[in-house]
Amino acid sequence: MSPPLAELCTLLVGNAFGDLAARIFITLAEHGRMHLPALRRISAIPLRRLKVGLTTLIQHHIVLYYAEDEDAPTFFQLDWTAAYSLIRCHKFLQAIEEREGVIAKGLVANVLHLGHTSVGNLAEEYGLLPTSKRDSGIDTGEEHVADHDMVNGTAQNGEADHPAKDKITLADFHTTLRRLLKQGILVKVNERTFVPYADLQEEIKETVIAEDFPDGKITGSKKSKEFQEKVNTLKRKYQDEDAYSDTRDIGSHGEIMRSDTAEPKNKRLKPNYLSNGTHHHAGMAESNIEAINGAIDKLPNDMIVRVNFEKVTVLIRNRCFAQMATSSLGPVTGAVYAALLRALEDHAVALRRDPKIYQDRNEDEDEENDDDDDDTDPLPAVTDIEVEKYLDQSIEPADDDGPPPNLPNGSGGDHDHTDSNAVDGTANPVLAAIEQEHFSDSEIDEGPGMINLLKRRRKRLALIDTHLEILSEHDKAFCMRSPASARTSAKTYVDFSLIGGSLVVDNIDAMVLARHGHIAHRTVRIIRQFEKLDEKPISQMSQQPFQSACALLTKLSYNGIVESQELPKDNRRVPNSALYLYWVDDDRIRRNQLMRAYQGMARSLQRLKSVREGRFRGVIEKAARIGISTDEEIAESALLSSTDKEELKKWREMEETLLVQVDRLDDIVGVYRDYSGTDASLMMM
Amino acid sequence: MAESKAPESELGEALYDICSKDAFTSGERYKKTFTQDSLLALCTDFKPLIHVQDARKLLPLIQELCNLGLFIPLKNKTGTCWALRPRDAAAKMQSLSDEQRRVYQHIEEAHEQGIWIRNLKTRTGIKDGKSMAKMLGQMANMRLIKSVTNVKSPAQKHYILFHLAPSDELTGGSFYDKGDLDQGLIDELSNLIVFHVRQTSWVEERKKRIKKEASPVLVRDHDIPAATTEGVTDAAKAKKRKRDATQPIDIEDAPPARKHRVHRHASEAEIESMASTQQPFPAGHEYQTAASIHEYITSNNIIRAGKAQLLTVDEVQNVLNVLLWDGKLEKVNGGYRSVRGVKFRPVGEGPEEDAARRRGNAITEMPCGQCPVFHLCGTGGPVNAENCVYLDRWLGVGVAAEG
Repeated sequence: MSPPLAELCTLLVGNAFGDLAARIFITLAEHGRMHLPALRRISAIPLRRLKVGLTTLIQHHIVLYYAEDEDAPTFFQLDWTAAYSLIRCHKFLQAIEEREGVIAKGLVANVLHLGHTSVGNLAEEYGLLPTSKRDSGIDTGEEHVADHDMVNGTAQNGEADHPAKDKITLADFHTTLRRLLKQGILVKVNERTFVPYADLQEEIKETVIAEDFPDGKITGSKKSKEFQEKVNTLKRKYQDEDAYSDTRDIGSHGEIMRSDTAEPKNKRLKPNYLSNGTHHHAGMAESNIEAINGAIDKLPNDMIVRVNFEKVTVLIRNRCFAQMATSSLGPVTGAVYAALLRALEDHAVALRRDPKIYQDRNEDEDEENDDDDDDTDPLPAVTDIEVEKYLDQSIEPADDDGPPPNLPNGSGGDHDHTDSNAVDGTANPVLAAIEQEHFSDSEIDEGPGMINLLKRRRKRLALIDTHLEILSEHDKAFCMRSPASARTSAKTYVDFSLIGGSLVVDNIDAMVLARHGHIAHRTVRIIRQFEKLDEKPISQMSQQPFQSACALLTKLSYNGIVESQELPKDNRRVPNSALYLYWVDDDRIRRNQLMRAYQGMARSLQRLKSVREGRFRGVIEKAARIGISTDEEIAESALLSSTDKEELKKWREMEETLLVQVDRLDDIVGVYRDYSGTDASLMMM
Repeated sequence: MAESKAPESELGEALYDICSKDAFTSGERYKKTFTQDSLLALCTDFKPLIHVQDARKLLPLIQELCNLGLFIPLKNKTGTCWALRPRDAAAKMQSLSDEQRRVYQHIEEAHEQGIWIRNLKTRTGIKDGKSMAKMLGQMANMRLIKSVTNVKSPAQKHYILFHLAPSDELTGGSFYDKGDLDQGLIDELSNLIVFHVRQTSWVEERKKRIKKEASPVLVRDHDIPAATTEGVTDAAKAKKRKRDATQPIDIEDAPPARKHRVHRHASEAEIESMASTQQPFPAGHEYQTAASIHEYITSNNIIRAGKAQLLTVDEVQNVLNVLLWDGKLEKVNGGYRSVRGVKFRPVGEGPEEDAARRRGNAITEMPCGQCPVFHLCGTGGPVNAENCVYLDRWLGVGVAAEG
């Protein structure tokens, strides 16, 4: 693991869990996987303290462990993703609040604070169990100290959770938890969660060999294939066990609602739907159903949950991609793209859990079946109707500033229902069915309200179709569209690695532009487009004199932006008669920049600590003793001298600068490492 | 002088005149070559030469003109043909020595492409550089030949005939001025293209009360720049259109310049709000192509008429490529669209400062992103977070004292 990342993660662990945890962390980071005696010897920490520190780290899934059997030594190793995720807590909570509301944010904040916890513990703390005791270790506002140590100003989060906690009901609690579990933001914890990935793979293989291949022979074409199948079956079984299920994960003591109707597909709170009260089949929030029925699907109290960092990173990634679409094509298109990405999230989960698709994707493609084209497609796809479910309700086609819609734009109702259907019918065959459903359901309400509702929905679908086409047309290939046929409506795919890759390239270009000027930026883009080029065409295409181009290329080469290759023209192999080809290695630049970002974050945090404990220590302690924290309080305080006030102001400015910088650098790390899905640096030990 | 050395035979002179007229009418000028058949055809159409109906009568005239240097005998696939030489040059050639004449003929063969002095030495067999330079100098003084700079290899001195204009290959095309890249012209042209493409790339809606159905059609009509003028009164609109219709659109007349001068100094938030008014056209919309942009430039008196004539679609395409690489335009649907929120420079202002283009990101703004002692930096090392002077500078002077 790279030293800058190890240094940064040690700082983060130290800030969050104290020096003891940081010492254990740095020992494991430097020496890799080791057992307890070795860890004790190298770290020189007494065994008792070592165990305390390891417990904390294991509780937060920063350390994973594995023992082959009961007598064998237990090996400990780090999970870098969990360690690095400490820096993103604030961002995670913000993303969850934006999407799932303040209750979900409060719950996730508590789970994050504890590492993992049981549903019963959480419920008890919220006072939702009959035998509630306030000693479960769940965060109660006053104890929310870890957040103060965490970076990114999460100090406010603890305070922000309290109003929600006061109001939370049993229905809200379980509904929100279920929603979070279903989306994969929270995941169930079992023994396998603590086992490192490679060990788990080996264990699965050994289990299969022990059970099905007693002679230990797994080589040979037939045997190896059979072995692989068994391994996959066991993996699927484990996966199914680990996955949350609406039907299986039901508390035995709760009052269970068994609805005859289908489970509401969308469990997301949608205040606007609630206000109009007409989309009961899809948009009605679960809490509303529960309010009507007076029954709650309780989760089992002994179910242990933790935050799934990968999934929350997906939320942040999608937000970043949607921002990119917004800046490239406008806010409406950006909103449609955000809805598309949200809809695809559901499909990605479904794809992973569908055993048939899982099998198709993991096995060799020898037996291709023409009928299963859709299933074997590696990219999940969504229809416009699915996107519409997640499109911001405030986006109204009539008020939209977007492209001139193909549909009539006015609200005067010039086009009646039949005409509109003729316009749309071919593009959206499913829409006709929905419409039919609406009309058959509403025996009495066929008045203007229903027609307006349908018209609105149709317009929204047309709007989505238009904007998705615009997105697919863009150079960056935000999405791909498969055209509508007689049987199916148009489907939209997103190649995330492609978008992530173009985001990486954009950031590299921005760096070159800022650091080396616009001619260098142009030159780098030219070289990237043509892959490998000589100086002469570079100078011609970039419209700069030959000598300047040569000087620039030398400078870029020295700075590690472009790579060069010498190509001798003759046998003399003298530099003068050699040809130099230049190319851009984006991956190398990306890795270098990543290292610099890690180091920048580490230095910012170190500087913050040094000034807090050095120059500003006196005034900070003084302000803490007086009990003032906000800018207004500082300004109005009579107990502080003007010099103190000035110093405190400087300190707060510096703190803000450094923390914001860390946050921004983390955004860059996300782009360079996480969003394209091609970087596996955190997986490697 | 030309009169005194004119062909003695009036018929010969008449033949030269008719050929000269024909060459200039066709536009090929001195590039045009005449075969025996084409010369006979010309004679048939011209009354004084009407009796020259066969080769037997034509060849003495050709021979006479060749002797006088007015006809240049050439060979092509079909046989012998002849090209014209200007009277002045022919007259001056009479006074040249044999060696000089040989050099002249080689330069003449190179035509618009010119000939490098080293190649000239090889072909003529004149090894002595000084005598070659002397001969070339004399001929240049007689205004028979001239030296030109080859943009591809400025150090290699090329010579072409005095009355010829060097080829684009030699001069580099419209964007080269006497062998030097005309960066000013390229910048202005790029800026203008960004302005023009931007006008037709987005549905610009500056205020909410604009009628939604109106804009795309109007904007597409690129004859009316700044079509969306919803903020002005009808009278003002009429006046504006009148001015647009009567005056040629020139760089000086670019209407939104004032608006963008404001934006140039506006805050980032204002720029973003300006960008947010740009809405995309539906998919399949036809955007500007290299050909349409070329037509716009050449037909609107934007650049000097001489330059406009020489400007080719390929050259416009090169500028468009550069704008693509600069991130000002993007390719959509086979055409070009301006990148959303891209700015253009108001006319009259100097070239955009490099610093103004730099947006950067969190890494470039922080000293660690370009730290020269990156590998020396570490906890407890000679350079660390506590004593780093770059961090001090970045955080402000107050910290420097502490650090």
